[in-house]
Formats: sequence, structure tokens, C-alpha cells
Amino acid sequence: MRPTVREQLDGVCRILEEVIAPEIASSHTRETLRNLVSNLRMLSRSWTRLLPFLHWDNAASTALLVAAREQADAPLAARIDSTVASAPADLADAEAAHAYNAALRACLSECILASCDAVLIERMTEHFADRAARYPLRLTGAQPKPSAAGGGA
Amino acid sequence: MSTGKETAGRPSPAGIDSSAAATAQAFSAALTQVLAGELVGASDVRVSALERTTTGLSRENWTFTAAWREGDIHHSRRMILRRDPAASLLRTERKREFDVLRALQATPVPAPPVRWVDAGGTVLGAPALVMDRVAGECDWFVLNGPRPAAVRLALAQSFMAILGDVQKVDWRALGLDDGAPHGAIHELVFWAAELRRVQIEPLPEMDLTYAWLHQRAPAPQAIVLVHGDFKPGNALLLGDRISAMLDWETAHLGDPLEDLGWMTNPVRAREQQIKDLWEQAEMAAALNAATGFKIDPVELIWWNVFSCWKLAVIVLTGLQAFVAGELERIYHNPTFLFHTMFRLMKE
Repeated sequence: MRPTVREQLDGVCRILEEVIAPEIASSHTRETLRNLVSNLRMLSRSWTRLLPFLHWDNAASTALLVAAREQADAPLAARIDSTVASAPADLADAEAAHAYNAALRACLSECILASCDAVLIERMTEHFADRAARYPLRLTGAQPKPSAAGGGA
Repeated sequence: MSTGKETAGRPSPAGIDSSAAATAQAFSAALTQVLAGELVGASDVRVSALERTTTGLSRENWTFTAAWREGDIHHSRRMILRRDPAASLLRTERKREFDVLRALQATPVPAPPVRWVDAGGTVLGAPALVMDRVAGECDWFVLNGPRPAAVRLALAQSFMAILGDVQKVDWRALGLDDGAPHGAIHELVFWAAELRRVQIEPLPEMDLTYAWLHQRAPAPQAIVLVHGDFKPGNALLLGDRISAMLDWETAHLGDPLEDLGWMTNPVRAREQQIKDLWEQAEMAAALNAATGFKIDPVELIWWNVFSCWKLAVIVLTGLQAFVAGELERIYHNPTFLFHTMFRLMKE
């Protein structure tokens, strides 16, 4: 399996930086390329962590939904049941794990907007903070450079 | 003026080629014509050195030199064109930005002189405005840069004094009143609508925080002019003096604590605060001294949480635009904001 995914992504970054970037005259285009390379490097570091992250989050979200079901009205309880039951059979299927994650999180949103009790909201908050800390697709963030034009959100 | 952030209409490009060189050439020609009409008594108007800058995450910024003659006198001035891109982190109106900038000329607030606005985008293919380029350099992290601590503290105090001047602007007398309701709940509802517009996946973190904000939205003690993104990154420095505050595109009427909540948001501490010298307590005391507005700590936390949540909506706007193929920059889920939001909500 060589070059590995990581070797390919790192190699693309090297070529973009060493071959393509020096040929670019526009500062705007150079900056755009720099951001793209940063993103490719992030993907190279983190792509192997995506599927384990989804499995962890799906398990934790399911536990929260089972707890929320106790406070849900009948239609929402039924949606929780059907969503939880739709877990993909193939654990190696990353796209199915991602779709299941989105379905579980949509159900969590419904529970929040339907007003859960304070204890459950606290549990959800703790999980979301933990999830944010473990989230694999994160850039460390390039600092904006001083300039005479300023601006930007 | 309502929220200052309504949808800007986006006309199709009026014969403007999308390639960079052709665009610059077309813009130069169009700007020459525009300025010839705007500069009273001017002749032989020329536009040169037009270049798109790398700065500006929400608008295209193009710098250029305008030269013209008035009788025997030759003028040359650096100017900046701000134009709506195909997609942006913020949906704002150039006409509103123009009105605010023009109104500020009669106040002590240092804002760039504004020359011209193309609200409908009929000249340059998208809404745009032209301002004079004020001398100075932008440094996002000047408050924690190499200058001596006393100089950095004086700069921080100057920023707050300018915010005080912004809040003292008589917006009714300057024609910025729109008669619409303003304040925390209205900002929250506006940005919630933005979130629904750009959201492409479930975000229970954002829903949870929205519910918290909605239950606790404070009533405004007064309605003032709000900058909307008040930070050193939107200022120009000439030596150790602030020569201009920029980026008035999100200016609107609202609560006196809104800009302070944005500035004291912990995720922006490196830009806005100086450890042990200029932190939330000093900033709040300075604004209170400048304006007389009461700074309620509980309300300020509400505005801190709102600032994180609003910033998350802005990042999600970039994420959606990237996925739609409209943006040349990749934005990710704003998880870095969630942890701070949740911590503040517990305080």
C-alpha cells in the first residue's frame, strides 16, 4: 500500500510548496495556496482518527438519547427508537458511520429544543465539550499577518 | 438602519471577466469613470496600481492610486475598493456601510473618508464602495507585540476611548435611525436565522447554546451604535497612534455591552487583552468611565457567550460556502468555540 495515504498527502504538499508556490506572482494566490497546504497537512495527520472518533461519538450520543427518551413525548421517543436502531451493520463503513452520526445528532438537537431537564442538559454539555476536544479535523490556525489594509471577521 | 446585516442582492456580473488580470483591467477602467464623475472639478482622472490584497475575510479589498487634476493642481491619493465577493462570511450591505462611514465623518470617531458606493453592483458586477486609504499599518496582535507594556496599555486605552466615542454618536441626529427594535434578543434572532440558512449538518451544540441565550437575553439599558467587530485587527496604527477604525460593514444599533462582550470574549484574549494589565475588569471600568453605562457582569457573560456563538455562525457560513464551491478557503466545524461557550455558561 505504498505510498500510503499519508505519504501521498505529504508529497502533494511538498510539490505544491517547492514547485508550484515559487512560480506564483499574486500574493493573494500564494496565501490561498498556503491555506490549502495547511489543510492537506491537517488531513494527513488526522484522517486515521476519523472512524474511531465516529464510533466513540455514536456510542456516547446513543447513551444520551436513551436517557432523553425517558423525558420525550411519544412521537419523539419513536424517532429516537428508530434512529438508534438504524446503526450500520458494517463497522468498517466510514460513510455509514458518518451518516449514523448525523442522524443521532439531529435527534439530540430535537431533544434539546423539546426541553430536557437540567441534569440531562448538563450531561449533554459535558459530552459536547469532550467531543469538541477530540474532534479530529482541526487546524491549529495560521495567524493573520500585519498589513496596511486590515479587516476580516 | 436595521440590523446592518441584511441580505445584499447579488446581480450577475456586468461584463466583468473572472480572470484576475482581466478583472483588474476592467475595474481600473470602471473606477476611472466613477471617480471622474465623483470628484467635483476634476479632470484627467487616472487609476493605477490596482491590486487585490490578501486581507479581508468577508470582502474583496483592492488598493489603487487615483490621480487627477484640478486646474493646475495635481492630486494623487491611495484608495481602497471594497467589493462583495461571490461568497462571504458575512452578508452585509455596502450602502449601509457607506451611510455609517459618511455619518461618522461628523464625529470624533476615526473612520476612513468614503467616496462612492455602488449599492446595486451595476458598475463592478457586485456591490462595492471606495474609501480613501488612511495611512497606517494593521497589526492584529499589537496589544501583545514588541512595544513596551506602557505603550501597549496606552493603545488599549485608546481603543476603548474610541469605542466610547462610537457609543456617544448621536445616531438619530445623523440619520441612522430605522425605527426597528434593537438589543440582545433581536441580535440573537437575526443570527439564529443566519445559522438556519447556512447549517448543513445537525449541530446540537449550537442549539443547546441558543436555548441558553434565548432564556437569558438581557434588555438593553440604551441603544447605541455598535461596530460589530471592534478589534485591533480592524484598526490602523500610525506609530503608536490609532489612525483609523476600519470594517464598519457589521455596524448596527444595539446594546452598549455588545461590542464590549465581543472584545472580552476569552477566545480573543490574545488580540484584545494584556495579561494583568488590561483584562475584562479594566476594560469594563474604562468603558463605564467613558460612557457612564452600567456594566453588569452577568449581562457581560451573556454577551461573551453570544460572541462565541455568533463567531461560530460566521465560521459555519464559511464552511457552507466552501462546500458549495463558492469560497477559496476551507472552514471547519468551529469546535474551538464550543468549549469556551460551555465554560462561560457555567459561570
